[in-house]
Amino acid sequence: MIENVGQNENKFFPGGSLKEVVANEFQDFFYLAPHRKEFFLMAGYSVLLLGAIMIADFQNFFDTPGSRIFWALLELGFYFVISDFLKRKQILAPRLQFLIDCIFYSSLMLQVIILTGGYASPVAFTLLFLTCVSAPLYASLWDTIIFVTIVALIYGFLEVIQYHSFTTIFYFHLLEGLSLVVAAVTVKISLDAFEKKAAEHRLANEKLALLNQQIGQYNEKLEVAVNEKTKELREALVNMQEGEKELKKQKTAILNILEDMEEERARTLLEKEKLSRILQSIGDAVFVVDQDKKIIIFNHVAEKISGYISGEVVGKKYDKVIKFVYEKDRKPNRTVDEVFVTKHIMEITGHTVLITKEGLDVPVADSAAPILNPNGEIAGCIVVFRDVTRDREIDRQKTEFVSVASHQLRTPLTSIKWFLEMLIDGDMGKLTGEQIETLKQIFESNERMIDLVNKLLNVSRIESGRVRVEPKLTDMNELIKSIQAEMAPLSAVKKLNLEIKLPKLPEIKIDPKLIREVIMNFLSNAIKYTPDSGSVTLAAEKGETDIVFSVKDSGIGIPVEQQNRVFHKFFRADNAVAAETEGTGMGLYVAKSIIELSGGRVWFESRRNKGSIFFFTLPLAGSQKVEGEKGLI
Amino acid sequence: MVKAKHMSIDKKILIVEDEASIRKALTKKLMNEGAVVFEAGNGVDGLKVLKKEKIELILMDILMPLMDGVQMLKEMKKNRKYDKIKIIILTNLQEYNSDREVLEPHKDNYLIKSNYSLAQIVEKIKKMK
Repeated sequence: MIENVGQNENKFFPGGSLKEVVANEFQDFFYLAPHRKEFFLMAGYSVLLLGAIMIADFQNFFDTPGSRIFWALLELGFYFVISDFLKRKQILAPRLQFLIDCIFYSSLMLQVIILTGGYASPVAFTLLFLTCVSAPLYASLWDTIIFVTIVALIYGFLEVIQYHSFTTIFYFHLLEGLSLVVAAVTVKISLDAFEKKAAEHRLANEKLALLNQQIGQYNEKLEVAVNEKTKELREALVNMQEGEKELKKQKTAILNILEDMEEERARTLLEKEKLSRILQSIGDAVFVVDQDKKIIIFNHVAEKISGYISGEVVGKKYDKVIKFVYEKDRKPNRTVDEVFVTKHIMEITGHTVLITKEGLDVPVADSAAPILNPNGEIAGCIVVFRDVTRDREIDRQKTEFVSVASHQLRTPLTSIKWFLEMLIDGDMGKLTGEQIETLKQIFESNERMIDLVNKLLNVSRIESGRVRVEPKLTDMNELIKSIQAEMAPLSAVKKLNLEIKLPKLPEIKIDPKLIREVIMNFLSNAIKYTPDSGSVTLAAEKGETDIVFSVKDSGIGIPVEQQNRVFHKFFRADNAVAAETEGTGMGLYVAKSIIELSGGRVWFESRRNKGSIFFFTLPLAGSQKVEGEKGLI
Repeated sequence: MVKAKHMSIDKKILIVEDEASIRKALTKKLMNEGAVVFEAGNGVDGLKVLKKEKIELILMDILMPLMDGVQMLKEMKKNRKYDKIKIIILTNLQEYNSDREVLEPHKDNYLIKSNYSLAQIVEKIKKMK
């Protein structure tokens, strides 16, 4: 609250205008300032006293003239009012005010007492009472005591001046005064107590009112807050409900996704199981490596053969556990690595063994195939292999059988051959020309059979790798010459021109028996499949590292679509069969095997009806000796 | 087929062969050529003949019952009397290989029957003198 400080503002006389000042003063004097009741009581008593004194004076009670008493009383009364004013406005400091009050009251009162007869004054007591009572009403207890003490001293002083000693009445007067003081004090004390109580009560009430007000305020605030909170809560509730709806929607969406995922997972699991079952049901060993060549799948057949369980090998690089080596030289078989490079399926070639966990050899065969990702890059490799021990056993038995059967066949064939020979030679008696011819035919057929058996035996030996190669320094020119001599009658029959074009060839270390077989085979083929009056040419050329031989004919040629099978066992091209029903289809297979065993290569060029040229090489360095069990027939 | 009748084989030849027809054919042919031929069906019988007769040449099969060719040769080695006898191995088994050392000295006279005509065998015998 800003105080309105007007121009006429005076701290003693608050309020702006004169009207206000007067009104304020009025209020202040009559009921606002403290001790109003006491003041008016004293004022009233004072007036009464004045009245009484005036009446007494009027009756010439007093010695001194009444007007002087009247003025003295009036002075006293006047000072009372002034003093009240001063005290009300707190113009002087309280202690100072008190001191002045003491002096004035004492003096004025003394004056009146003296004027009204001094010691014998009848109003002495009343004045004393007035003084003693009013003082405590205005002042504190101690101040009152001090004041009273001063008054008593002054009174005593007067007494002494008047009578030069203290009379007995003086002491009784003191006692009266004391009684008055005590009474006043008592009253004051009660009043104080009462006031205090009232003040306390008031304070308490005020406090209560304040508290009530505060409670009221708080209640209001609370209500407002509660309302607000309620509003907020309601809003929040609405939001929550909406949020819940949203959540439900999302939950449904997620559940759907989860369902889909679960389905996908189940499908994948099913696929995986299917794959696993397929892998397990495959009779062969299968393992799959990833692009780092670490094993990721290892089926139970692989476990059985290798001796490792899949838990032991999965995650490891394959060549740390799966050791494929070549049977003879124990060098590692790197087919899988080759697949990674060539990105083609490759065979795990024969004579490879797998070293099991226990360190045993298991002969294996089959293939490794690349797994390519959509970009065509290698993502892994799938290796399939079988234990071919049984296969090898079967093969061996087959070869054995062929061998045994062939040998068994030879005996009766020999028998027939020799008896026919004797019959034809006339050792059993003379025969007719026709009979001899017939026997000769039979003899030829028999020879063919012997030839077939020999070839079968050769093939079986080549297949089982039991062919012996015994290289020795051979004069190729000589060898070919002798072959030419042997082939001459054959070519003569067909009126073919058999040409031999050879430079002087160096001697090379080859197995003459085997190479003889080869050259004879090529030549006999050339002669066989060339129609009458054709030509056959055997030529040779010395190269850097080998001698290249060629046998050229002007014969029926080999159709292009059948050329890839020419060196296969038992294969005879259709036109060959048509031209010459005789033939085992084994000659070229044997020839190729021999050449390759000798360290050379075979190939040919041919067109249907345009003749053929067969080429083969023999290394200048010579052939390697091969221990083998058997030579070829 | 070459007829080599101009020279006769003037020898005592023993044929050790279990297959009758083969034996018969050889015997007939050799006899025609003027040889004196003795037959045996196995090694045991062969050795019996050797004891009795002064054999100069043996045509020997390998695969025979009771005692095969290899065994017979081993037995013959024990008797120094037989060292001079010439031997031609006639067999239908595989080509000569160095597996059986006892055959080693005869490796040039190791013939596969079915690949040779009688005439060729006779030729060989004649060349052996």
